[in-house]
Order: sequence, then structure tokens, then C-alpha cells
Amino acid sequence: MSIYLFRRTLQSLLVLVSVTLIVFVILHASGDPVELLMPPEANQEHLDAMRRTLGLDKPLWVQYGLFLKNALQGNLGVSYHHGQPAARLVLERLPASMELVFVAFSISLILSIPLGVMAATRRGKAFDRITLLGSLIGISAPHFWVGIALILVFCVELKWLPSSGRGTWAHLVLPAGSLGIYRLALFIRLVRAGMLDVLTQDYIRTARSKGLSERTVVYWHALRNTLIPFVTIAGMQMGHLLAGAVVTERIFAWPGMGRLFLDAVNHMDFPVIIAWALITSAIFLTVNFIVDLVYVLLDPRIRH
Amino acid sequence: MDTGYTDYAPPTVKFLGFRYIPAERQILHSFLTNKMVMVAVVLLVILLGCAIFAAWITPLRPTKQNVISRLRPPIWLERGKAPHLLGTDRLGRDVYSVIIYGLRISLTVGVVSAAIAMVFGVVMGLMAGYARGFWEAFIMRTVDIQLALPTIMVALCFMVMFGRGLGKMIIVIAITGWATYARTVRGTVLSIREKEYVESAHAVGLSPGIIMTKYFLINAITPVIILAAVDVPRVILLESTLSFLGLGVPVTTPSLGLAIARGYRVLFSGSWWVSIFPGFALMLLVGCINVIADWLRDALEPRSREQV
Repeated sequence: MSIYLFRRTLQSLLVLVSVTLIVFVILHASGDPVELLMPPEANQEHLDAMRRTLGLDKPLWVQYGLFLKNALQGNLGVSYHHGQPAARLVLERLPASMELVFVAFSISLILSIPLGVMAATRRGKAFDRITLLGSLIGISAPHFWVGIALILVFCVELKWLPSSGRGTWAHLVLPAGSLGIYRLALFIRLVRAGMLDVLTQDYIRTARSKGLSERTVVYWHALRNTLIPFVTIAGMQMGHLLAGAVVTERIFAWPGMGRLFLDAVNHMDFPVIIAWALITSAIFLTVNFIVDLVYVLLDPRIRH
Repeated sequence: MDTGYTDYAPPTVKFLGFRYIPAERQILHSFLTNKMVMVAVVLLVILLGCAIFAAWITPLRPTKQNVISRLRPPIWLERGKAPHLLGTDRLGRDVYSVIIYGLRISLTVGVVSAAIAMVFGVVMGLMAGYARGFWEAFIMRTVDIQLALPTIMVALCFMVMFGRGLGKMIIVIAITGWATYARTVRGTVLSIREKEYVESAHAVGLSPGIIMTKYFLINAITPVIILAAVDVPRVILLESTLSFLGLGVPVTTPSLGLAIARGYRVLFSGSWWVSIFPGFALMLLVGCINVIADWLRDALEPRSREQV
């Protein structure tokens, strides 16, 4: 177990270092931010001076070395646009994004399990067909468009909910709903497929032949065995939600990391872009790491 | 994964007392008895036709602006005006024409990107499985890194570097997709690498190229087809997302994602048609491909378990 832990940690760190390298090279190869930062009338001397202040005159690998050294101390550079530490800017926005992701994820998890189980136990019946059609729409509709449709109905037409900003529960309903709808649809399909698979197993037949009620068989014996692999896949999706929230935050003007990133792209604010990519990756890797551990603990068969 | 689209009883042939069902007949039969898949195929063919013959079935060029006919509602509403069937956007562009040409972009990106990712991923997977040693480790660690990162983040970072452009976006999306193929193909190769018939092929001196294609590739075809079918909807949605965020195709391209973004800006003035119709077209396209992909997976690999 400890060897597994060690290898897994090492692997995550390797990925993180590769991300720093890739993001760093990509962004520095993509253009000169100095010309964007300085007024157009600035002469060559001023431009060079600015480059020196930002450390952009050194060779790329020296810049990368310095960047890595600073990153280890929690310093990801200073935002060109805001003039504040990039890491702090991103981390300040983290709670808003996490709130959105957490609510979206919880909604989809809580709704998908009963719906998936009910669809599987009523296979081929009307309820199953409607659920399947609904989940097909859910995985096929672009979620930014779902967000726009929700705004149209609940903000423009009915005027029930606010369309932008953050603060109250009412602000959270539409963003979380539109972010969660794809996962909800996906999870329903996964639970349904998992249940259908488990319900054909021998131990289910044994449980039935013991005279247990159908309810006990479905919700105690079958669901438990469906949930172990399901929770792993679902957990991995949580990290994807954080990155995917970029779009939702744009539509609902949600003050999270994603919006900060999109603004940074417009200003070619490299430190913020790098900080966003690094912090998103770090959270993604940590979540997947925990999910992996939980899976290993839950399922003794794969404890190598 | 059972998706509910294959509740069928294939015809059986009695042969020496055994029930024998040829695989092709099973697949054909499951197709013909499955209304949902039939509808999806017909719809997809229609959408494909629209994309191919866009110039003949649209009244206007999708880029044609018209200051006088700005933000016209669909034709059946008050103020609606021919030939703007589904209304116009803020610059007077015809929404219907934008959708038809947008389908062309979506399908092009979907098919080309998925194809590049597939070919590259399959070649990498074959090489990793065949080579062993350093190259196998190198390719597979790259795959691990790729799969350990959220796709949309990788795509966004690459688009920031390359800048907008159709070709660039096709490449970037392909980069985000190849790793799954490589991992699957290598897995298949590993499972047959030690079999006697492969060893004997080595022993009689067949070239690596022949062993890779005739032995390894053949065995990997079914999972690769299934992966590709599932990948196309993902690619199309990713294209529209990138374009929606302004990091995809250039603003003059008639893309569905861009059209939805433009519609979002005029949403609060009540011009809902500019974003709702393109999004609906996108959903229809992706939905059809999803249904077909699901059916294909069930038909080709009845025992396959879902791996997201």
C-alpha cells in the first residue's frame, strides 16, 4: 500500500512538473506582452527596460529555472495587468469556483443515483425511456447553450432568478444547474448501466432466492456493488467540472477562477494564465489521487 | 454499456441443434429493428446533406451583413421578413444560413480532428506495444500525463499559444484526443504479444510492419471504431466551446459556437432566436451521433463496460 502511495505521489508530481514546462514554453512562445503593456509611443529603450524588470530578457531556460524556483516558494509571478501576485489573484477566486463546482457536482450525484436505479429496475418501461431520452439530450446539448436557454426562461421571460453575479442561493441555481446537467445525464447512464450489469449477477439471484424483498435486493445488494466503480468515475469528473466551469463563469458573470483566466487571455497576462493552469491541474490531480485511494480502500481486490 | 437501444431478439438459425447467429446478421438485425437508431441515421444523413450542399439550400451567404434587416425575428413572428426563415443577428446575418454553414464547420472539425487523433493514437499505441523498452515507457508516460489533465484546460492553453484558426484548432483538439487510442491499442497489443501465432510470425521473419498491421492492428480495430464513434461528439462539443469562448475559429467563420456567443450578447434585448436555433442544431447533430455511437458499441461489443 505504501509503495502504491509513493508511486502515485511521484506520478502526480511528474505530471505537475510537465504542466509547468508545457505551459511555460507555450505561453512564452506565443508573443511579446511588453508591446501590449507599454504605451505605443514608448521607444526601444523603454521596452528593453520593461523587459529587464519582468525578467523577459534572459534565455527561456533561465526564466524557466527561476520560475520553478519561485513556484516552489508559492510565488507564481506578478500579474502584468493587476500588478498583484498571480497566485493570490487565482486563489482569491478559488472559493467562488469551488462553490459552483461543489453544488453542481452534488446535485448531479444526488439526483442521478435514484433516477439511474429506477430506470434500471423499470427497464424498457416508459420511465426508463423518458430518462434515457432526457440523459441523451443532457449529454448532447452544449452546456453553455443550456445556460443561455435557462437565462432566457428564468431571467428574461419569467424574471424569477438573477442572471449574473454571486451572493445568494438564487444566484447559484442557474450556474450550478447548467454546469451540472451534463454530469447528471452522464451519471444516470452510468448508474443505469452498472445496475443492469450487477442485477444479472449470481449473488443477486442468490439474494432473491433467499426470499429477500426486491427493495432490499436492489437498494442493498445491487446498488452497493454498482456504487464502488461509479463513485470512482464520478469523482474524476469533479476535476473536469472545475476546468469546465470557465464557460459557465463566463455566461453567468460568476467571479471565479475561470473568468479571471479569460480576462487574462484578453490581456495576455501570462503569470495569471500560468497560475490558473497550475492551480487547476494541482486540484485536478489531488482530487483524482484521493478518488484513487478511496477506490483502493473500498475494493480489496486491487490492493496491490 | 447497455443504452437501451438494443432490446431486440436476433433471428436464430438451427445448426446441428445449436442456435447459430452470424455476427453480421446480428448487427444488421439490431439496426433494422431499432427505431431510435434509424431515426438518428436518417437525421444525420439530412444534416450531412445540408452541410455538403449548403450553398444550394441557403438564401444568403452566412457572412452577408445587412444593416436594414438587423435582429429580425423568425419569419412566423411579427416583424419577421423573408427570406430570413429563422431571423437575423445584430449585423443582419441570416441565422438559418449561419446554421447550415456552421454544421459544415462542426462536421469538418469533428471528422478531421477525430481522424487525426485516431491515426496518431493508433500508430503510437502500436509502436509502444511493439517497441518495449525506452520508447514504450516514453510514449506511455506521455499518455499518462495527457490523461491526467482536464481536456478543456489543455485545449484552452494551446489555443492561447497558437491563436485563433480552423487548422490550428483541428490540431489542438486532435492533441487532446490521441492518448485514449494509444492506451487502448497498446493494451490490445500487450494481450496478444506473447501468443504463439505472433511468436511464430516473428520466427518466420515477417517484417515489423506486417506484424503490426496484420496481427496487432486487426485485433485493435473494434475498440478503435468504438472509441472513434464516441470521440466525434466530444470533438464537436469542444470545438463549439472553444469558439464560444472566442478561442476557436476566427470571428468571420460561420461556426455554431460563435453564433451562440453572438446570440448571448443580444439575449437580454429579447432576440432569443440568434442563440437558441444554432444551439438546437448543434444538439441535434451531437445527439444523432451519440445514439449511433451507443448502438455501435452495444452491437460490436455487447459485453463492454462503460469507461468514461
